Amino acid sequence: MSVRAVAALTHAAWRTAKSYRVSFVLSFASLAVTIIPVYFVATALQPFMATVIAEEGREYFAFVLLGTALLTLVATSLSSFAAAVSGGLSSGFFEALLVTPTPLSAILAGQTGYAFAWGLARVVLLLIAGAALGVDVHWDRAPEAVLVVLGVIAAHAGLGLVAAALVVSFRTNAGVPQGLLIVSTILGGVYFPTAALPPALVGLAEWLPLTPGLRALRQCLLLGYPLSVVAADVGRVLAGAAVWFAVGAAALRWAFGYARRAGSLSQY
Amino acid sequence: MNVPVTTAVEPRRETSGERPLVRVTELWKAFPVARSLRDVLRQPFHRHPVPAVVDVSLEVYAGEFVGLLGPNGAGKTTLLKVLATLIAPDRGSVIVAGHDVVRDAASVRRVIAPVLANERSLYWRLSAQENLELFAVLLRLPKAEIESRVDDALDVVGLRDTGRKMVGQFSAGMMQRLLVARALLGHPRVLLLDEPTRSLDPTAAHSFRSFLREELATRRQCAVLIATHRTEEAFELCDRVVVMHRGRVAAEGRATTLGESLLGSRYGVWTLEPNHPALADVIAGGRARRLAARSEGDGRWWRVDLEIDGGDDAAPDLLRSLVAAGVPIARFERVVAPLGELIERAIGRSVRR
Repeated sequence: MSVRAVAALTHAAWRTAKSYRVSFVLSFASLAVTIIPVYFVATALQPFMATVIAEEGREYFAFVLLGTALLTLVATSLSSFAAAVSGGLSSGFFEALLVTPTPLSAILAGQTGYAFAWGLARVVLLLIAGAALGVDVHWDRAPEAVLVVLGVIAAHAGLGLVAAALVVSFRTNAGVPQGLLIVSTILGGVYFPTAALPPALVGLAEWLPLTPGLRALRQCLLLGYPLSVVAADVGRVLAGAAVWFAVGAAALRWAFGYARRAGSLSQY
Repeated sequence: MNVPVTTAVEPRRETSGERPLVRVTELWKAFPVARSLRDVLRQPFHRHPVPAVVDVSLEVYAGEFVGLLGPNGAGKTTLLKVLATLIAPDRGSVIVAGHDVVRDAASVRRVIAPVLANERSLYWRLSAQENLELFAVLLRLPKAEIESRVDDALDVVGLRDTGRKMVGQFSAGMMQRLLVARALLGHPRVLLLDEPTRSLDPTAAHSFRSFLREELATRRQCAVLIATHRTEEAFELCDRVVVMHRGRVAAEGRATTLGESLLGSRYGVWTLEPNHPALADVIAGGRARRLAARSEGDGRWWRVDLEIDGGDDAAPDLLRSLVAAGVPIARFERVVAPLGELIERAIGRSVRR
């Protein structure tokens, strides 16, 4: 993959975003709107939630904060590829990129690079804000946390690539990213632990890549558990990442081949 | 079956040892038709592809401008997109600068520069210079050369002074020039242009055509394939035109020669007396056919369009006899046939054969 090409495309997207000054500043301000009400609601619910979340943390605000942060990255991973491909195909920009010698993988990484960078920046800002509001984070477990976050991103990026493949083939993602995001938000343990779900749904929740990832992340950063304790969940996250990323890459490769044959790759 | 109309063209350059930069041989491409869900369920394995390019063979040499003409849906853009590696051919071979578009697409992309996309394929919130710098990286130009190549490309298309201006503030013509500058960055050997002057006013289109001819064909010796609907582009810019119809080549040759063979030699006669008896005699005697007559300027002068039997060789005699018979003539000149008519005639002739 051409790192220069990825960096150049990401930089171009950053400069474009920055040129819309008001919305750029407001997007930072929206973080405050996200976190402050959550802080007060979580503080109010703390007495009721303390025992429910005990396996993954002590403070409900910290529990929700990490859930929201990881969900931000999940949303980016699920939707950014399909959005980049869809927008690029309809504007003709993708066509201009595809006729350059830059490989497809670098084009896709570059086209989504800014979205991922912005997602990560939001997560960092959320964590800083959380620390400022008194969240106790075990920073010594950051390496384990990074591993989990990368695994969760890779697994959902694989699903995002499947959605992009649908766009390339059929001009619609069939609501796959939105559907997965809704299911992950409800069943993935973002706002409450999966143990609180009806028994019939607990098994289903465990199949989602977000569920073990979020549990491991909270146990590392909020309870200070070492990798050996969370190894089973981390292993499931990484296995899911390997499988889904491979499936996504294969789907996208097939879709581009199909679109070249069907003539639907270029602007329509 | 359609048989292409071919006019006498220059002897094939390959006989002089020169190899074509683009060689399309018996190319076929068909697209599946979108079907309703009901249809798919009823006949899941039924395929009914619509042919877009049918048995097309074509060669383009360095420094040559070849125009692709034809009505909408004739297969021009499909052919350009196959060359650009955006569409995979079903059958036949397409070789660009020695590289096969299917087996060696990456190498083809290093030597070919399509200008197929519209102005929305630019970053409107970035400057022209920033847009080109981005594509210089994507074209894998050496880092040390990027600045000079970008400056050169902006210079060539006359945008150097506005290089730092945001593209969103450009006129359509400037954006079109920027798209060409972007294509020229990688010093391509083959250029593909899809209606490059569609959004330009007549003056801008004229200067843009001069630029294309001088810069691309003469100076850079690029092989250029241009899909167009404009008469001026076909007659002034192209060394050769290929008329396509329903995916097939309906006619091929020099635009003027094709025009003559299909539409005859056309002359405009500027006269004060469009119904002068001598003019009527010439037409009645079968020496010329009257195509149209319309008043020009202040309404006193008329332009009578004639198709002269015997072509250019017969034109001086005809003029002499008209003047001798006292027809007041201020101007007598060859006129270019409308492109639409040429295309229609080429298609009609090819189908009849």
